[in-house]
Amino acid sequence: MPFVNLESSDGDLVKVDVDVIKCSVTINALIEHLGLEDDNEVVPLQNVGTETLHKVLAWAKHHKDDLPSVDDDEDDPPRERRTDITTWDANFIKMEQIQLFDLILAANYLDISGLLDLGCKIVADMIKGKTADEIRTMFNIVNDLTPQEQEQIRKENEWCEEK
Amino acid sequence: MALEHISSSRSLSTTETIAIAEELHGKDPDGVAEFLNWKLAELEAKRKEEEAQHFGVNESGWGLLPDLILEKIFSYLSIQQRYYASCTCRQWYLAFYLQKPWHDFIMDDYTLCRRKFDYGDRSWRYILDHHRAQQLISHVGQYLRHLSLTPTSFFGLFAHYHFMNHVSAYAERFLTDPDSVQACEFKIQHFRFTFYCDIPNRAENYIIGTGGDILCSLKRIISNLPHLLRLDLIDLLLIPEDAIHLLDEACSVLCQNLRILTLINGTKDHFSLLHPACFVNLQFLYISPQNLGEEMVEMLAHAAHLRELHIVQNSYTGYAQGVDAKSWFKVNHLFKVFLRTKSKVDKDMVWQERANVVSVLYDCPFTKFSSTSVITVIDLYSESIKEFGHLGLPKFTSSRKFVNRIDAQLLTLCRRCIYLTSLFVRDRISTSTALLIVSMTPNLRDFNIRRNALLKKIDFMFHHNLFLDNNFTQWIKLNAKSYEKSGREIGKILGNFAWKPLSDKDFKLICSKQTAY
Repeated sequence: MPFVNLESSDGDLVKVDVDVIKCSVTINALIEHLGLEDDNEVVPLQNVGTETLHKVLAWAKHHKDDLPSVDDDEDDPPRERRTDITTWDANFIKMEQIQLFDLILAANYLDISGLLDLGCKIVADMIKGKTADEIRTMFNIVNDLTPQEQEQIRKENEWCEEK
Repeated sequence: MALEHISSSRSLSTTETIAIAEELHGKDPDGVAEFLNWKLAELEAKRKEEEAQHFGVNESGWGLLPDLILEKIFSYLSIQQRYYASCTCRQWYLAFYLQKPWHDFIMDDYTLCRRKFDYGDRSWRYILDHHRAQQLISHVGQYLRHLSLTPTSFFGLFAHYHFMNHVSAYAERFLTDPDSVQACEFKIQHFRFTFYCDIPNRAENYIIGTGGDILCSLKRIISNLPHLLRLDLIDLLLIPEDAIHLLDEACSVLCQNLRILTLINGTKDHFSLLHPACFVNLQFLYISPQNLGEEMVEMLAHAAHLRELHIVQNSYTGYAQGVDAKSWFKVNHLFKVFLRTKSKVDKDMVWQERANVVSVLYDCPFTKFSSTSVITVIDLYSESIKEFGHLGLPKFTSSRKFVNRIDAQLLTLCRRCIYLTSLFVRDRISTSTALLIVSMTPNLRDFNIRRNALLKKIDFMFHHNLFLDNNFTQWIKLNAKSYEKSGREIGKILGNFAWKPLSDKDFKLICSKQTAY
């Protein structure tokens, strides 16, 4: 079984089965273009920390036999976008907000659509049922809109509000 | 002195202390304390703000997520939640207008509605909020790609009727006055309308079809969506006089564009339509057997791009008869035919003699595996069929005895239809039969059986017409004794080493993908 060494941004090396990490489009492309055949080659990942990398690999290992998702199939009839996830995923994703944030960015960087979807579903779930102020406090987002702009947005998008 | 005390307790920096001391100079003693408190509060607020900015932007960064990720998050949110999220910061506000989350718009009975008390009925009703519907169309109407209208109650139909009229009005206004605020150029590629035809009634459940105003607004909206690639009209159950004109507008607007057409239960009883054969670039056609006639089948021979014809029955499908064998013979092998029955009540297929049928799938919890259907399939389609099965879970009890089980019939089917590649078995079979099936069906790749319906039994000797050699018999006897061994052997033959009998949940999941239309 071919292996590949991944180097996290903290400088740690992690040896991974190519079969496990094949869900990552980025790494697949890297392996293909660089022609990493030697087991000792190192793939540097500047944007992924060691802790996050281990998380990503745990997820990839559990999902390595999954069928490729057909989520973006344009021919499919539109479905209700649902945020239900499996029990394993739910336990996996129980982490600090900062870790979740890093995980989402890592999934985005490594181009792992399943993991990215999972992260986005969780964030969407966190947002659900909260007002703008509550969202801001939860994610520590700084409000960079002026009161005038806020008023304008309110006027513009008020129709979204359920009555 | 007071200053020293404060600076030590609040840990002010030296520059701050000096600045305060300079300002204090020349103030009367009474005002000093007041001024100091005010000044300190101001400094505190300033520090907090700096801190928040530091943590908010640099540490957590949620406010600066890339568009691609925000797009994904937003597509999981309801319209109201998107609005709340858009109020948080600039980046998220801009994300509100990213196109992708708006591509799919599914309207149900409560979308864009408001409650109104009905004094006649003494209950709340949901009626369309016209202002909100218009705002949606003018703000994001141009981003919509898939529009699906699925009323789930009789009163829900009114909201859908009005919404369709708004869409049509905006589209029509765009043609005459494109700069108007109430105009919108739609680029919808997929329109779907499912009529709600179950009218609950105390005496009995009876079914009504559509017509009148709803039909008019349906035809109007179709004629206003020139970019459609796919059109789904489900359970309209029209009377023949209406049905014959149903697709008039669609034909004139979409005759070159349309790739996929779904017309399930255009009428209730047998009434042959011609319009579906007019779309020259059609690739997939889903139609009910009662709307399929000899003329249409022969006309479909000229639809050069048609690849798949799905003949679909559901719970509301009324009387239907098969198309004459002569017509099927004329179009033989130009396209593949799929027979589907998806019904909550017991229902059998409408067989199409001499058609190029590659797949026969039932999704009916009350329809039993019958020897007549097996014989018909062998008789008519043994040369072409690739897929056969009963999907979902059965809603009746069945015996565990060999004579009452389906093993023998299933094996006959597999031995006679040598091109079978996938098989869905929801009923009870024994491990020995499973082994026989995979070893006797040369092209089988996709073998789906339920773990809960698999019996650990060696009863292949009851198959009277089998003449097996000794080694083979030994092999079956050895492996059918345990679930693990038989599973491993089946996996080996199928070339899929991870093969396992499916749990009921997985079986249902796989099945639901097969009959989606």
